[in-house]
Parts: sequence; structure tokens; C-alpha cells
Amino acid sequence: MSLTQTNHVFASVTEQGLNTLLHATFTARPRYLNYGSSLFVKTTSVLATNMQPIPFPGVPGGIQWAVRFTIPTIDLFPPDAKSSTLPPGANQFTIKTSVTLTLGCMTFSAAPDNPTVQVSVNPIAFSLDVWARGELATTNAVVLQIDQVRMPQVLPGGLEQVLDCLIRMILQAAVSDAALPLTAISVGAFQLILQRGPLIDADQAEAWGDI
Amino acid sequence: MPDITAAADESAATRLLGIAEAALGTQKSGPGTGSLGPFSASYSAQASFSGGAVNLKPPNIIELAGCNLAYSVSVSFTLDISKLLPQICIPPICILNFCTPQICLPYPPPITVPSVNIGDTVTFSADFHLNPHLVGPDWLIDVKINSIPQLRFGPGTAGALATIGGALVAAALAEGGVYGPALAVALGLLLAAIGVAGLEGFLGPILTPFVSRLTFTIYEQPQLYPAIPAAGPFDPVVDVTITALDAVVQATDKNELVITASIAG
Repeated sequence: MSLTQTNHVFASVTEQGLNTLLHATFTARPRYLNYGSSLFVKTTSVLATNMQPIPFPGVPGGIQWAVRFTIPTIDLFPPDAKSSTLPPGANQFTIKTSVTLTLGCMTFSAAPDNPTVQVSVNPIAFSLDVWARGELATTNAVVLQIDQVRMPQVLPGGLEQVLDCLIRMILQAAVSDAALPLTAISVGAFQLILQRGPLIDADQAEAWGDI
Repeated sequence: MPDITAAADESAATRLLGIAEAALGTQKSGPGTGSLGPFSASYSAQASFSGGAVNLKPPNIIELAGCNLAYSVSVSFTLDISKLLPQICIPPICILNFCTPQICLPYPPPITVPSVNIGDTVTFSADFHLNPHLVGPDWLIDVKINSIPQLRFGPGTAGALATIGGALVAAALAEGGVYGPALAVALGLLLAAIGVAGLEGFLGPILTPFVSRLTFTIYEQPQLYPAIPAAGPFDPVVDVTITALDAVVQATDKNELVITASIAG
């Protein structure tokens, strides 16, 4: 079977190549993995993205927080032996990362009529392994679409569900901002006009089209 | 195992070659000298390439069939009448014992015919081979011709011959003096004898250098390849290093040009 099949051009990147591209992307642009309110990230830079604190009535300045992911590694279908918690199915990938959630734990006096509230902040954090599974979005780029997240270290189940959903939303936003143009998976050999894919098979992400 | 594979079938490869032909642009040669029959000529030439259909032949041959070479040659001639016509002499005339001396009309100085521009399209077919290589900081995949092809001249060559003939005759009549009319007739006869075949023989050595080392570049990217372009002050370019690059022709149910690359972060 030809690579181009019924199309005119074909481009693919192996799992190892995709990990190289992801590593390069998040090394050059770590701000897509690091977010925090101004206590932790003063201003947006290449290194981190400044976010608003979570407003809450009575909490001076809102709740300060930060989220930091390690550079994810990807496992394309079929699953590697080491892939376990969420093995990728047909046309799926699994990414493995770890997340550190940091909270600016505030202590302040409950005196609504006192304009000079004394506030002290103690950052507290915990880290968890994160497994996420998804497929490639059908778009003119390689975009990771996260469908499901699991953090098996979290108990009880209800808390895990909440955190899974929270991290899925954050991680989805983070990785979709780091889309790889299709020219990257042909190292600039041609400008691929997508007609089919991107699909995942045989540890590769593959796309077909025309030029 | 390479990290990245890109493949193009013959249709896409034809378009890639078309892009490479356009990128090559107009090539120039000269000034040089040559001979068109008894006429010595100096010339300068330029040529560009377009069209042709790619046939991929494993493991490493790209046949380009019906490629067009559009040429333009600026050629000027010098006519040395003394080498073309016998000198006109008035023989002695004797009346009784008195004879006039023989009077020979001097040749005018050699005539320089102003530059004539001739141009047409010739076609050729040739086999090329793939040559991926690193040149300084850039990876290139060149498609390099294997041997000198035969140029097929079109019907425009006859028109070019007529253009040359017109310019020569006009110059002969204008500057040939008393020899002008005879020279014009002689030039007409000579050009008819030279014919289209002779002009092709003149043009062949001028145009052959354009194709003898013909190389199209179908891939050129920096080794430090910008996988994602910069997108603002907080999103710098994302580079990866292309550590190896190869290009081959693969045959399965259809023939394909396959480019493979290994990358490192």
C-alpha cells in the first residue's frame, strides 16, 4: 500500500518525533504549562502566564493559586508496555504528565469594618501524576484533544472526579494552545492541504491531503 | 527509524518540480562566440524552465518528460565581405594602343550587424537523481540531471532564421555600398543553405550548458528548522534540529517520492 493512498501527499510523525516536537514546544514556551495569579506569576512572560485570582467575597484580593504541569510525554496507539492507567485505544493517544497545584493559603482577620486587614500568605502545594487520553482534533494542525483524565493517586472517588475534570479542562486548554502546524510533520517539504486525518496508527500521527 | 515521513505521488511531485523550476528563475550565459555557417557571431543568452511531467522510477530516478526551456539569445554578427564575395574589378579597356588600368572597387570595412534577439521554446526529457545534502546551515534536496538531453527545437526556429536573415540583409544593403545588392543576394542564398538545421546547430552549443548541469532544488530548509513560527513576544519560535534527511523513490501500488527526516530537540 502506498503512503499517499488515494491522496497526493502524506505526512507522518512517529511517537518519538512527536515527543521531540512537544518537548521543543514546551521548552521554548513554558508559559503554556505554568499558570498562576499574581502572587505566583507577576506578569505573563515566556516562562509563565499570569491569571486572575479566584474572586471570593471576603477574601482580600481573591484566592491566589498556581498550576504547573511537567512537559507531557505522549504514547500513540498501540499502547507502550509502560502505559497502563489509560492505555490508548485505536486512533487514540495517552499523555503522561504531573501537575502541581499551589494555593496561596491566606490568614486574615475577620473584621469587615477594619480597612487595614492584616493578611499573611503561606503557599501550599501538592503534586500528582496525571494520565490523559484523547485523539487528534480534525483540523489543519496536530492538536491534542483530551477526552479523559485520571489521577489514580487521588482518593476518595468524588474528589478524584472533581480534580479529573478540573485538570482535564486546564490541560486541554494548555495543550491545544500548542498546536503543531502540519508543515512541522513534513519538515517543510510541502504545504499540506488536509483532506484526511490526522489519524493515529502504528505509533504514528498521519495526515493525507494535497498541495 | 526516521521521525518524520513525507510522501508525494507523481502528480504532487510534478507540482513540486514546477515550484522548483520557477524558483530557479532565469539563467544567463555569455557573452560567447560561435559560428553560423560562414558567419562569426557573438551572443549572450538566457533561459528559464517550466512544465514537464514527473515519472518516478525507483530507487532514485525522477524522469522529467516534456520540460520546456524558454530561451532568448541576443546575437550579433560581423560580415567580412571580402570573405563572402569576390572583389568587383573593371578590367582594362584598350583603345588602339591605350589601355586603362584595371580598377578594383575596394571592399567596405567589415559590417557589424546590430544585435538580433531570437527566442523560442525547446523541449527535452531527461532523467534526474535525488541528492539530499547539507550545505552550510541548510538541508537541500536537489534533483540533478543525469546526462545531457537532446533538445527538441520547435517551429519557432524557422522564424528565428528569418529574423536573422532580415537583419543581415538590411545591414548589407545599408552598409555594403556597391557590394550591398550582391551581398544581400549572397546572404539569402547562404542562409537558405544553412537552413533551420544549421541554426539549430548554432543554438545547440549555446543552450546545452543550461541543461548539462541542470539542478532543481525541491527542498530547502534550515537544519535548525522552525517547527512553529514565532507568534508574539511570549511565543518565540520553536526550533528542532533536522539531524538526518533522505529522499528516495518508493514503488508500491503507485510510485512515490518519499522524504524522511530525523529530528532532535
